[in-house]
Amino acid sequence: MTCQERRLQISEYLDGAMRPSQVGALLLHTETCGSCREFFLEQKKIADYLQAADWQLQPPAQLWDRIESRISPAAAAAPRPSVWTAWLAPPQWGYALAASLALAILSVSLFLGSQPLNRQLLAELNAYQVDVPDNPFLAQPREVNPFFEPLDEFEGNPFDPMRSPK
Amino acid sequence: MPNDFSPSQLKAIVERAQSGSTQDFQRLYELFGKPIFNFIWRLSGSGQEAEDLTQDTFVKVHSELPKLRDPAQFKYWLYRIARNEVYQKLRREQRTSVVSIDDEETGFHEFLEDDSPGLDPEKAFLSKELRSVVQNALNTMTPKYRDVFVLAVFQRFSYEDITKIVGRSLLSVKTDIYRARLVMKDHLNAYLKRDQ
Repeated sequence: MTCQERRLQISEYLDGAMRPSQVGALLLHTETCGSCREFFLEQKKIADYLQAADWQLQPPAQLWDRIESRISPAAAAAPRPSVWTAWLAPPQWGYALAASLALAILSVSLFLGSQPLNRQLLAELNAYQVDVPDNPFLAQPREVNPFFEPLDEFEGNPFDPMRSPK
Repeated sequence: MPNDFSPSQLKAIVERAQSGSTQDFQRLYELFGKPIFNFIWRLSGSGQEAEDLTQDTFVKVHSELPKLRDPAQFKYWLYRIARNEVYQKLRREQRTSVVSIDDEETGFHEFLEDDSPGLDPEKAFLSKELRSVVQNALNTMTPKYRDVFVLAVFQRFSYEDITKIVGRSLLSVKTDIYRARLVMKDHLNAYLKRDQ
């Protein structure tokens, strides 16, 4: 092995990359070869200097924040809700109230529609007439409605074949 | 620190991050953010560029993570992306190596101070000067020497791991580290003579 190859081994030895089985032979050579010993001592001192100069910089604390903002653009780009849109937006409970009212109205309508027809009331309403001159429907006094006769006094209804004349 | 997790634990975190877990991706940043930041800083020589390129690296990792077939290789893949980001930036800017004795760009960063007890001011000054000389030496190195040297000496990767990151043979990695040491030796001659 040449001295050039030995010097390469010295570099390897200083980095702790040399196989243990080769270290003995290398150290033996440096004891017998002046130039290699000088090189070994120089490089050993340089390694000590480099160890003394091996200081570490601390990355800035906000570096991760910058990285995160670049890898999560969706979170950064999400629009914030406006104060006005938030104020105008109907509350969730409003929809429920409207539905309840609609249901109530529908229920009342169905209830009223299911009552039996008040014929007496209807007849009285039909008896009400406006006093208009020459009203052909007022040929008889007002208290007598030609279109309405109490059933008890009815006689000889030409349209009711079932009833016998008095 | 990455070494606190077993390979299987790290693999599980990577797999969950691949599935879309932002929390696990943040965990990966907490594990590798600082080493990657310092790795990029050593390669670029600029604290500001280290910030920007670390961002770009992790953003790219996030987008490409689902394509990583073997989560166990995440660490090497991450460093490969970081290294590529640095060299793409250098190619875009076509910048030449600028040697600066006073690296003022790093002044606003928080350093982990040397808290060795009994460090006198003179030694502290020499330590700061030494750091500048080392960084200047890195800045003047050929990129192919610089990245393997930084990975071996400052990131403490094994030579085998370095081959996975830079994509070169073991012999090529060994040779380039050796040559980088020669460059470093030339820059540190003043300190070697001072201590003699």
